[in-house]
Amino acid sequence: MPALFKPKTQKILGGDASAPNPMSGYMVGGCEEGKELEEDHVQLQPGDRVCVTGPNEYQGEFAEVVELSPSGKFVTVSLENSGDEAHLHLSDVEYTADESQMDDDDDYDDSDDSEFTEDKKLGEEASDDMLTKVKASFADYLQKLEDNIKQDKDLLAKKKDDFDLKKKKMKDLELQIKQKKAEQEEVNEDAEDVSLRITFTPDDIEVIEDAIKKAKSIPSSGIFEHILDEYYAVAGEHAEDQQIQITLSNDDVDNIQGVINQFGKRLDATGILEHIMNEYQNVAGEDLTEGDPERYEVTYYDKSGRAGSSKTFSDRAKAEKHAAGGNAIDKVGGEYRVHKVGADIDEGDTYAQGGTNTYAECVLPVVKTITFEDGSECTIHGDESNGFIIRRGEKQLPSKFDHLDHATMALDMYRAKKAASQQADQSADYVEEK
Amino acid sequence: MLSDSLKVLLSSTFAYYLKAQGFHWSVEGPDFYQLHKFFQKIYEDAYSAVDPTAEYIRTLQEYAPFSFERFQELTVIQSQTKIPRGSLMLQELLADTETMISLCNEVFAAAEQENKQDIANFIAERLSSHGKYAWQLRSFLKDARA
Repeated sequence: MPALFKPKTQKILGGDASAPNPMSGYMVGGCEEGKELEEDHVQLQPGDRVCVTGPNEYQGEFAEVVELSPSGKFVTVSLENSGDEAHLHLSDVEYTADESQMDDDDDYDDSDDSEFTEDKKLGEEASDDMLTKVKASFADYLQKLEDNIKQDKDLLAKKKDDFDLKKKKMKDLELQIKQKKAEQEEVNEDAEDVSLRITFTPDDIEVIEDAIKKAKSIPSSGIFEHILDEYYAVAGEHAEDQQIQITLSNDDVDNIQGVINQFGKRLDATGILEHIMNEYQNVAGEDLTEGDPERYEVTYYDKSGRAGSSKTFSDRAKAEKHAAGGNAIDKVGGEYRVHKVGADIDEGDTYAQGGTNTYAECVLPVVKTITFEDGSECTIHGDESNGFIIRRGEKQLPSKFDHLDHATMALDMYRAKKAASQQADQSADYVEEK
Repeated sequence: MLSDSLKVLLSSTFAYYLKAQGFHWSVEGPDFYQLHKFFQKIYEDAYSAVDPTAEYIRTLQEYAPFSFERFQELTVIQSQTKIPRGSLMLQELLADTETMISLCNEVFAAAEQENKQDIANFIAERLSSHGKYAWQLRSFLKDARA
């Protein structure tokens, strides 16, 4: 039930009721009659929250404006506490913000918070600074990491390039080596094949044909057939001398030599083969320069031990191959042997290929015996036509000498050398017991 | 002490005997036979003194050394691991004989001091033998130098 108007202590705004009251409708707080409203006073509206400030029973209570009087001088409010209505003079109430508006910054009196704000600002600034610094330093760190990674990548790439380059160089080198080897082999192969131009007469051709008929399986039949083919290709039906080119490999040479050795004069074609061999040796003889440190001589010895033809090589492997090839086809008891030319007398190596009989054992008698101080003996065998060799016990030394004097001198030198070393031993004051 | 001196004498006598016998085995050269026989006399004489020396030590109520290690520790004669030439063998043996003479003199003095007449007499005999061989060794060397 709305409260009755109680004009006990109400301030009543005086003046002419008809004159417009400049204060009507305006909040006053102890505002005296006629006093002009201050600029910051708010016009009350229904719904506004007011505080009862006048000296009445509701003083201090909060209320809500319900309505304003038509004159604007009085206001009806609804008390918050009781919910009752009261009619009050405008001067007894004072506008106040809603509780909900109490949190608004505008109504909040922060006149005492300036220091806090400053501190807060400082704090914020400081944290901003710190954050900025941390960010900057982290960014630097990341940048450095990136740079390092980039550097490492560059380094890795460079190393990889170097490695690839080295690989390439290695491959190139290997290729070069292969090429050189191939060239060398070609040269070697080429060196083994010798081309000859030999003139054959019709009589020669007849002999060759006869030889083929008689002994079809002789190793040199291939060469004979080649000669015949070439001859007839050039000469045709005409019987006349023709120069024919034949190419001989090492195997061919061995075969020819083998046939010569095997058949000898029994084969009419031997003469032709010998002629071919002579031409071959003229063209393809080993070019031995002075001072060549090692030479190997392949000498053919017949079953009587007589030395036959010989061929000299600068390479031991080639010499042995040549000797082995000859021995493989020899059927008359002869033997190809490899000797090292100019070997030291002390060397015990012999290069005899096949067979068990040594040259000295075969025929040649001892021409000289030399005894050393320690009682051992060396014997010299041979003759002027076949040369001289030296034997020490059961061993034949590979050296061959043209003259007896040379062999004797070699032995004398060896003896002097041995005596000198023995003397050196004897002249020592103390000899080791162990 | 006399027993200690005798122990040194025993070890040195054994080393001296061994060296002389080694030279007897190993001598070579034109004077082989003479030196071979001469060294034999020296080592036989030295060997004959080994046992009495050891027994004299026992009479002094001490133990005589009898291992190579102990001999090596006590001996004053340097051993030879190589084979010298004949004249060098003579020189070396002469030096060792003179060392043995010095040692015997010390032992003799110790024996006299302790009034051990039997030991002193034995040592006197050793001095006589070593003196004789020293003279012969010097004579051999003189001949070689001539």
